[in-house]
Amino acid sequence: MSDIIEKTFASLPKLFSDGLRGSPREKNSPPRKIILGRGFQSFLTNVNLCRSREEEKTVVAHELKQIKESLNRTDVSQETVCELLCRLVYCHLIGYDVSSGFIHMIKLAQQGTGLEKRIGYLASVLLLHPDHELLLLLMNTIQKDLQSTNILDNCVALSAVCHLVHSDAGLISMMLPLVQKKLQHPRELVRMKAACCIRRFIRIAPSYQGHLQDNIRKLLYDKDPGVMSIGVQIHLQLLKSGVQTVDTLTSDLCSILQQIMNGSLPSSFEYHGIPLPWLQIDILRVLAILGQGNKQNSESMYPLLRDFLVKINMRQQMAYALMYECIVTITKIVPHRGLLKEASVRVKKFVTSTAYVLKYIGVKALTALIEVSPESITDCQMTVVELLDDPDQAIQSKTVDLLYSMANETNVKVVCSKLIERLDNPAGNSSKSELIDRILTLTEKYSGDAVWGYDVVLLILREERGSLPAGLVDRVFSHLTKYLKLPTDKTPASDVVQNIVKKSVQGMFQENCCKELVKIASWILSECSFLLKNMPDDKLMSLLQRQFLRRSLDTPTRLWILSCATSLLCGGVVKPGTLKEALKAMRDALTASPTKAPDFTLQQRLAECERLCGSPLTFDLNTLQLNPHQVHIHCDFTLSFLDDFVCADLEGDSKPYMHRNWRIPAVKDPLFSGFGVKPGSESITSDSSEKLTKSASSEPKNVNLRLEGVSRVWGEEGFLLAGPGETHDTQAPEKQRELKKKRELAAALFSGIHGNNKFDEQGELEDPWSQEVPLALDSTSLDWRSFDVKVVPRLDNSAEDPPSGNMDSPSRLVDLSELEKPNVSVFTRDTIVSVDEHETGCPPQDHQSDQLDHQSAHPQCMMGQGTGGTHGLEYHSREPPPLGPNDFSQDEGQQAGNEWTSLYEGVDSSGQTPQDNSSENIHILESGAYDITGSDTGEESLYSQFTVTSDNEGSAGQTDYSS
Amino acid sequence: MMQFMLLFSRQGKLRLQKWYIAHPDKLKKKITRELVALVLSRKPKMCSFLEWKDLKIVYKRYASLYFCCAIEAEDNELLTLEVIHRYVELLDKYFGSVCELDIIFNFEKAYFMLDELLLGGEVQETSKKNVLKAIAAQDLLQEEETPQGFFEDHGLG
Repeated sequence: MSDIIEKTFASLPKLFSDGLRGSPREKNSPPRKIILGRGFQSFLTNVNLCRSREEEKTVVAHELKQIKESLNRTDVSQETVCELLCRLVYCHLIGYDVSSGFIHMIKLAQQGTGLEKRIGYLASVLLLHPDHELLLLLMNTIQKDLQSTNILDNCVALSAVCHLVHSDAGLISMMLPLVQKKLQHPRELVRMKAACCIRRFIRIAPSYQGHLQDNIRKLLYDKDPGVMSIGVQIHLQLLKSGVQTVDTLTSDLCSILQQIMNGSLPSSFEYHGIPLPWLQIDILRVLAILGQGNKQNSESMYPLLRDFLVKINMRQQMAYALMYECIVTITKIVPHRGLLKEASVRVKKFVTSTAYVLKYIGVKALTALIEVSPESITDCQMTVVELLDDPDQAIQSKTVDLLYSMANETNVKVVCSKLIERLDNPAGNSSKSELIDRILTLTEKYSGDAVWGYDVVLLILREERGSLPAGLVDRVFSHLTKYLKLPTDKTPASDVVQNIVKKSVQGMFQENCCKELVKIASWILSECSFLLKNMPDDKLMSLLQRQFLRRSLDTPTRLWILSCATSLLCGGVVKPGTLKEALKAMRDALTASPTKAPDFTLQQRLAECERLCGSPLTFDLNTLQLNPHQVHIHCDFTLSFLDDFVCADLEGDSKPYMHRNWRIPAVKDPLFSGFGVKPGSESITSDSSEKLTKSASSEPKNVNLRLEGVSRVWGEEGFLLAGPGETHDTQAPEKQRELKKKRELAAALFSGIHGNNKFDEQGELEDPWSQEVPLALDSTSLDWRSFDVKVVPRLDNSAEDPPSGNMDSPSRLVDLSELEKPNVSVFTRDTIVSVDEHETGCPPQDHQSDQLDHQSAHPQCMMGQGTGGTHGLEYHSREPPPLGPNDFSQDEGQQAGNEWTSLYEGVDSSGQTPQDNSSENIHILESGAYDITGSDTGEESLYSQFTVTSDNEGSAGQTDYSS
Repeated sequence: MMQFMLLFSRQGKLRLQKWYIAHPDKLKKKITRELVALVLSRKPKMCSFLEWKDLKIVYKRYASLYFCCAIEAEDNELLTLEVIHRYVELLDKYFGSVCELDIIFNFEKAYFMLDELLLGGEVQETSKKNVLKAIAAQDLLQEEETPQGFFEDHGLG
């Protein structure tokens, strides 16, 4: 590099003597004064000869210092200032700070004339950020120059306005009247610049169009083609923001375009033989907007567009640009079969071109075309397949766009597999998140096959990725909820759910998957815990444990895992002992790991889980055979049931109730309530609640389970009570803590089942148990009984389906450990290959698949199936499974028959009678939620308190039911 | 709308920069650095378009100079290539077989020319003749004050 520079500068003296412009100058060009003298040139030479950045820095610093000194002298001539400013601009170009010279540029723009003024403006526009405060000084100059009679001053000021207006609406309103005046200027150069300013204004603040309607309309009919084309651009801008100013715009523009095509405009506007190409393109764009969804407008364009396509047949880039624009217009307006056909012929030429630029444009045009006429791709499918493997990233990425827009029901799987392939391509890292977003959109849009959709998600998440679209997990959840819902049609849906659960377990085996995958999988496992009944619980727990202990996981993900473990426990899948062991291991690992700050959230959750394990799961189901109509809530808002109590107290030494505002001296900071500092001296919320509970338990008639709520309302009123001998003052905060804890527990229990906010409502017992049962996959919308009906036949069917019975499942389940190995290779690149091959099974009308079929090797396809047979688990032999339904079931059957039955066992063995299932679940659930009394052994005061309250509640509840 | 135009040499030295959107200097430098590296790493047989962040980069090499423009998603890439070509034609016409040194040593002229061609990031004057006329008028002005009838002589009246 340096010797090139040396050569360059060796030739400099000659250049200088030749007047810098080399010898082959145009003879007729006017003589030009060289404004930049020797100083500037030698400075450039010095800078360019520098061998290192350091050297350059010292040279430039020295230079900048000199420039500053010279600029600050008073006797410096404008010509010198000009030169110095040019040096500054150059220093700025090569990356130095030149802020010291800013004021001089503005001064030069103000005071200079002619060229000096221009240099001043140029430097200001180039170096100053539009928000720079010094620009305020320039505004004055601009206004003066706009009013000048010198048209060059006008021009330079208008250019400056155009550059400096960025976001400042104030600037626009300041300049607008002056610019508007210039629109009437007799010289087209000025008019054009003024029109450019208007275009810029409208782009930044479209609301200004109201003031400018007349001007804008006039611009469109200006006699100068240059001004007129800017008028068209302004209309384009307005149409984009949804405003139409001229009613006859379509016919006017069509006639303009016709005139241009007939060559009736001045030849000075031709570009390589094409008249006014920029204007033509702008008109086409306007027409595209006008014709969109407007049949009448579109019909008036058809003949013109056909002529246009026929006439533009030059082999020139500009002609191609026009043709592309015309094709886009044809695709945007109300479709016309003939035109589309013409367009597709031309698109094919583009796509098959050898020039990369044209190929790129062709793919873009094809993407536009395919949205209106999908059949047009049939001609160029081979080319598209080739383009996918094009070495050029730009073309590849455009082809991906094309694939995305050509996806439909039949080819969506192939398209997705290609998109995923693209995702794994290390080179194109620019918009992975967008790509993932697209894949997800496709799986949601064409969601015929839920298992496949889930597979795609797993494939995407199989390894850690930096860029995932926001809300991915939620999207997957909401998408999957549809399938995890209770099946209306019995068997197939159940298959889907089984498959999804199966794949979730497989996904969990991966040690390096995304945390999103862990979240999704734990969610599914907790949702469908009933399907895992016959999985060995230690295996399952070790799986969860291993994921939990992964370093890279964050707290929310671990909480998900814990929630899953809790659900499994409640679903009876995992025995408390096993879970406890696993939890202990987790806790040990957490405390042992030298993390900076201990994670209290996690520790808290772990403790909760452990407590849950510790509680013996005994709850008498019979006590909960409730009828909904028994559970009526009677709210006594007057709290009449407390009357006796209050009276008794008043008769004692307590004072009557006083509003909070009136009892100044008595009020203490409620913060200290419950610390028992002065028991009974004040009215304190906790006190009252305590009282309430007590009275409630003593008067079962009026009691309901919403005691806490009532007491709280009461407490806010500042209910005064005398508390003689209120010994359990200290209990109050604890009780609240208890309640909180209970709620948390409930949340943990039902977190996977949308039930976490239900705890309070459980008191009301509006048939809540059936809703909270984990079996009911969608607890909010489905009734437990309806589930019964549907589940029975489904489970029966599924029990017949796999060849192995329930009896030998435990032994089979040991195979699970072996599954881990093949699972490592579950998501390999092969998957994508196999997808192509499986396309052979697709219906023949899918041309794309035909091509793929011919292209891809059949032997490979055989191989894929072969591996599927040997491994049994070979996920990828049908992953993502684009097979016909027959193929799939066959494949599935084979696999199920082979080693990979173990999980199936777990799944199908849920074919015990659903009543069993339900009762067990209810049982567990009750115990989890309610039977906490059993858990407390009185070793901690906290829990001992809790016993009291829960006992109270329990008795209250029961009495209520019996009433 | 064009967002910016960069001219740089094969060695990656910036020769000209024109920004039509307001960025702080720091960001400008960063973008420039990244783009220069990106464009220089492209092989000659690749297509002249790139997707970069949410912009499209259109570049073309003329002798030792790269002309590189950033445009928005809805703009026509081929047309941008033609804008670059038009600019090169204008420079060529003005300087007479333009070379990199012309642009280095007369960069203010190159800027004036660009301002006549593009204004606010969009094409202003599509007629080559008119641009050259406007530049010629400016050049004459620096010699003497506007003579009476000057614009009529140069077809600007």
